[in-house]
Amino acid sequence: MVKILHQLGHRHNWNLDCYFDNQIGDGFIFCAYSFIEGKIGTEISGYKPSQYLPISLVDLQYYGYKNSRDKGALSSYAFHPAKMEAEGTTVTEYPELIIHGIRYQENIGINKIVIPIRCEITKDILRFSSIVEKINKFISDNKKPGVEYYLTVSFTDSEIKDAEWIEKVLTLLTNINKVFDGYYIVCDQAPEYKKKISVNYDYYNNLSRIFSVLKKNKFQVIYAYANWDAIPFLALTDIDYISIGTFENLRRFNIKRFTEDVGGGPSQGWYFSEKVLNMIRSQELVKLRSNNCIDLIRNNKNIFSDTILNLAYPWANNGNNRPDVHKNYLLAISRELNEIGLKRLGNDRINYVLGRIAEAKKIYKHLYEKKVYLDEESSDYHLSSWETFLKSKLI
Amino acid sequence: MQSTTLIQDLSPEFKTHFKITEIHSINRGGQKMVFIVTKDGVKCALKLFHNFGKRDIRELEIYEKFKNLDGLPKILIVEEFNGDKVVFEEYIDGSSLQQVAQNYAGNPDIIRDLILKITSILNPIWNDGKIHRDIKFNNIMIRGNGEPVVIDFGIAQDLDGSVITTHYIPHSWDFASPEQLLNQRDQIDYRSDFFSLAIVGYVLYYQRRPFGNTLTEVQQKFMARDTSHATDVECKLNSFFKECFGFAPSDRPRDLKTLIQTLQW
Repeated sequence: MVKILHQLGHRHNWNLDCYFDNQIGDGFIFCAYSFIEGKIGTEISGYKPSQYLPISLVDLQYYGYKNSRDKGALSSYAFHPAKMEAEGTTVTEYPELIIHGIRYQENIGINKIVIPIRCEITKDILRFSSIVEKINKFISDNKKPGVEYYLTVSFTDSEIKDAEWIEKVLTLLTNINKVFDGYYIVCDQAPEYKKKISVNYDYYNNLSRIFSVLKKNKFQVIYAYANWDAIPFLALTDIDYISIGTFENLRRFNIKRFTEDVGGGPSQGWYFSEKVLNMIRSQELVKLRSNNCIDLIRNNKNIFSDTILNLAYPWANNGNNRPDVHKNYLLAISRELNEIGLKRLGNDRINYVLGRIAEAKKIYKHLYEKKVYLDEESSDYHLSSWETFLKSKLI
Repeated sequence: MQSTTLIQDLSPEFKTHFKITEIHSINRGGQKMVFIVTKDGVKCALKLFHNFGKRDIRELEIYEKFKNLDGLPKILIVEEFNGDKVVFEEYIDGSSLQQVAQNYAGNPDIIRDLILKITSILNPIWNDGKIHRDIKFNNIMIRGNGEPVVIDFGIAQDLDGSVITTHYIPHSWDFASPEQLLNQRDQIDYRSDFFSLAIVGYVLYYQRRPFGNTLTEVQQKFMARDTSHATDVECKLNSFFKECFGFAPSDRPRDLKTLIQTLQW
């Protein structure tokens, strides 16, 4: 059964509260960008280390080295490449820095180690292989009992659409000499303008292949920085862990965030609807309400949804920084994923998700008939892509 | 079998030096000559190299490293003589699989037995990070007692982890994996041998090739990422074929244990 991990960053207290107060999710992934060295392993947002450490992973985020000043908390880690860069030091001992990152996690008592590794944008398999083999050798020689080791494997938007690169990487990762317990997969994707998730067929096909091949080769798989497009991926593969996140940078891996300054614009917030399997821009809720359609998209048995769909909810007043908006997503998507994970893998599961997509399309059609047209991100732009993709996988 | 009249191919000094009393056959190649001779009263293979190259050195290294394996030819002597490299090798008293292939037709049990024996010969070599890369009927000898011997490690490759830096496409296209035939050099690993072994099993069972009868046919099929192959529904080897004929190495069994599971019935 799939396990849900909260990807923790900005406003991580909301996620922690969701887990401890509302039983949402199964654990946490701490993103180093938001936690200075020394913080993880101490009391965080009122929760003791003994409460969260046994169910936590740490992503040290070695992905890219920023030329900008904004390195978040990354440069607070004595061994982090970002610190070397901040000090103007050339990062030459890269494998050693990775080993420091592993040791750091072991020392604070993490039992599922995420091995940090840089995002390879050069598509140089020999270089990538050389690093992987060094780390593999280190883990082989130094594996601690009771501790699991997950190698980070990142894919840029260009890489994930390159089937040849994917095959090279998969051949490397599944070689018999690999001693990793699994892989921590992060994947950039480039949604089209005014879209939140990709509709690119290669993206779905190739990322899905990565998950299924790794699972077939008996590795555990963590899908990190996942968005709700985890739905079609889980329809096809028993992914072991899928992350859920609040803000967009925790739901979409974007290498630029680690190499450049990327600012986020203001937003009044989004309503995630399990009925249409999509985010609906808060401003669109006015249209729905005015046409007496709000119940068509309302999430079931979701106290956060009930709160934010209340007429008096102050969306316009910085809605995106209100906890209920994000907790609605966390609850709805975790339920959705858990439900999918319970279905038997194969046609049963695919058909279940196809059924959910069909229901969502029906609601969009109903809205259309009622002359309510949801625009851009809030529209049904992704559903046909998911449907086509999943139908092609029916056995 | 050729007669001893061929004895003039070896000089008297040579024969005296190596105590050769009889020559049974001779096979002349571009780089070497292979004689089947009697030396010290024992029949053995004599390889006389004019140009002793990297592939020959590699092959000898493998034979030396794995000399305790019954399924590899034993090297008896390696010596220089008048500028030529001389190698005396165990004579395999038997037939090539090519010669006896028809005995296996439609019999999954003896094919499984053969495949398992070959994998047990190759497993220590795979575990050492090496691959054969040219598994085919002519490189599998069957001794008189039915035990297989794998020969010709001339294009075997050290993997140094998993990615190889040089490549060699086998001459025998009909037993090659997609990554070999399509020259995807950084995809070739021990699972390329798994693929070739499955072709060996398939051709033995069906007495026909799985992916086409010409190089062009097979290449075109592989270029379309197609490794579909006709099978009888009731063939016990279907699971083995299905798993080992995965197009990409990562689609095939990851280890020998998983491969063996496909041969259980």
